[in-house]
Amino acid sequence: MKRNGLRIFFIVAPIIGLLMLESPIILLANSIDPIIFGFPFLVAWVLFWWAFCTVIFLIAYKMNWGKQK
Amino acid sequence: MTTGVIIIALFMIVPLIIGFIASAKSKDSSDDYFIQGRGMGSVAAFFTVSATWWSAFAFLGSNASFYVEGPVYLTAFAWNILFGYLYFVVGKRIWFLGKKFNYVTPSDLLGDFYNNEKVRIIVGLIVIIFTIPYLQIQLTGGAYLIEVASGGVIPFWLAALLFYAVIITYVWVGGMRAVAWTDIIYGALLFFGLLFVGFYISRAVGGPIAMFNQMQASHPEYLTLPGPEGASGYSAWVSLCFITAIGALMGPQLWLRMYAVKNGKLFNLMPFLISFVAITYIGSVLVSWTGVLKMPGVENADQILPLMVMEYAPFVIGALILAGGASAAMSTANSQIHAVSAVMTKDFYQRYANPSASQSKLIQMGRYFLLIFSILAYFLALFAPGLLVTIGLIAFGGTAQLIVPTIGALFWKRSNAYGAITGLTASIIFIVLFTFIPGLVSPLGLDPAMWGLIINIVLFIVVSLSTAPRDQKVVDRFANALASFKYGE
Repeated sequence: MKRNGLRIFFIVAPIIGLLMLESPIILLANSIDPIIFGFPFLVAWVLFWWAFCTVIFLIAYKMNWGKQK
Repeated sequence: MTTGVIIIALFMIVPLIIGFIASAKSKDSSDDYFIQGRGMGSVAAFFTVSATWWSAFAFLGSNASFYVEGPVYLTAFAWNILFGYLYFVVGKRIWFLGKKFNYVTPSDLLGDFYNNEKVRIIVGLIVIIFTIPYLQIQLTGGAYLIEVASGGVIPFWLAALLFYAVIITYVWVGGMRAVAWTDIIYGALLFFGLLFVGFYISRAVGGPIAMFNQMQASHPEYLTLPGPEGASGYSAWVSLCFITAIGALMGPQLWLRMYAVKNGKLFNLMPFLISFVAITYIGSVLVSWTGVLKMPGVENADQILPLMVMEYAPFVIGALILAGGASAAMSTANSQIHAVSAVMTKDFYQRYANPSASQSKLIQMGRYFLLIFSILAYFLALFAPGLLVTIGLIAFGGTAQLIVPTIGALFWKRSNAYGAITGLTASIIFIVLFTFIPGLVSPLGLDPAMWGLIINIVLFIVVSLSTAPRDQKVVDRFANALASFKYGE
């Protein structure tokens, strides 16, 4: 059950990240302010969700995408 | 200038040496020439996929886009994620079926699954016709870089000719192995090159943070959609992401790399690696927006990177970076020429003209096709100019349509050839009409290929459901194969 939950998480989490970047939600982030660490907000938003998905992919690989090795 | 020519000469000679070393390792079989006998190791596979994926479209096109259109190219971070994700979900299954049923080309898999010659021919034609414009981009981009790095000593036509002469030679002698080995060097050069040069050049305005501050003060329209021209809004954002990621994944050069991989474990790691290398786009942001501040009004935006590098970086670093850019172009071009020649040889020559061709005859024909397509792309580069990103979208738009019958083959037993043919044909007709006929405007500002995908999906499902199912034996053969994939991964 725990493994199955992990499998689903690793499949669904990147989709959530992609939705944050490619659904109309991106229009809510389409502004310069607030500046985050010197980056305009749109750039910071993209970098945050990119980093989120990249880290998920790394953990997924380390955990064999939630499957038994 | 002399140093620049020397660096370019070295850049041309190294792949030739690698090509000849690779040819010494090759075996006299078409499988070895086209897909390295399905024995490609993980390091070579990662670099050749990444370097092939990273083309002039990314290296020069990204800078041109940020320079002219504002932030729309930031969607590239998402398309790297999508590409990596699809490489795992779709690519691994393609690799598995390729190994099980001995496929070499996209038509092999789709023609076999749909059990239909027309599907095979349509898929073959799509991958050939829509890969040529993408090949043209690489040639144009590589030639721009050589022209600028040589200080204009080598003119565009000669740069393009030199560029192709080198590629043809090492692909001719070394096949897929030479392509993969050269891509290891190219990959390392281009990933580190662009990021490094971005930080280096932004020092001209005080560094990255100072650059963003100055852009906010003087050019805020560059920092949000729809950009300074008001033409690159959400529709362009979403179109670029989906069409680029899917179109590249379905290109024959990437498809052959899925078959060539030795160990399926690589597919588990690729989403992370592909996603991670997107960090390189930060280099493009820094170069091009520093360019907006320091070098406004460049007429040919595709040249903004080489121009900025030559103006604001020491010449040796500049020439090395430009060699990295030419690497991006060459590493994609070599793979495309090789893949298109594989498709022509296996899908058309061997299947319809000479089914009993010997292995050496197949390799020989592959080399002839290599030459023919290279000449075609060369003349297109000389006589059909256009912005790299624009041409790239047309190419990706066509190959992206293959995702629909491919997903059908991997995940939907009820899909059939009628659905695949109708969907593909209608979507390609739509793309061609809305791309080339003046006055026809794609609805809602979406790229015609996005509408093509929607039309394709709807027709694929409706026609498949309303016509006879596929032969039960073929359905069972694939169902059993994919079931063993699930438990064997």
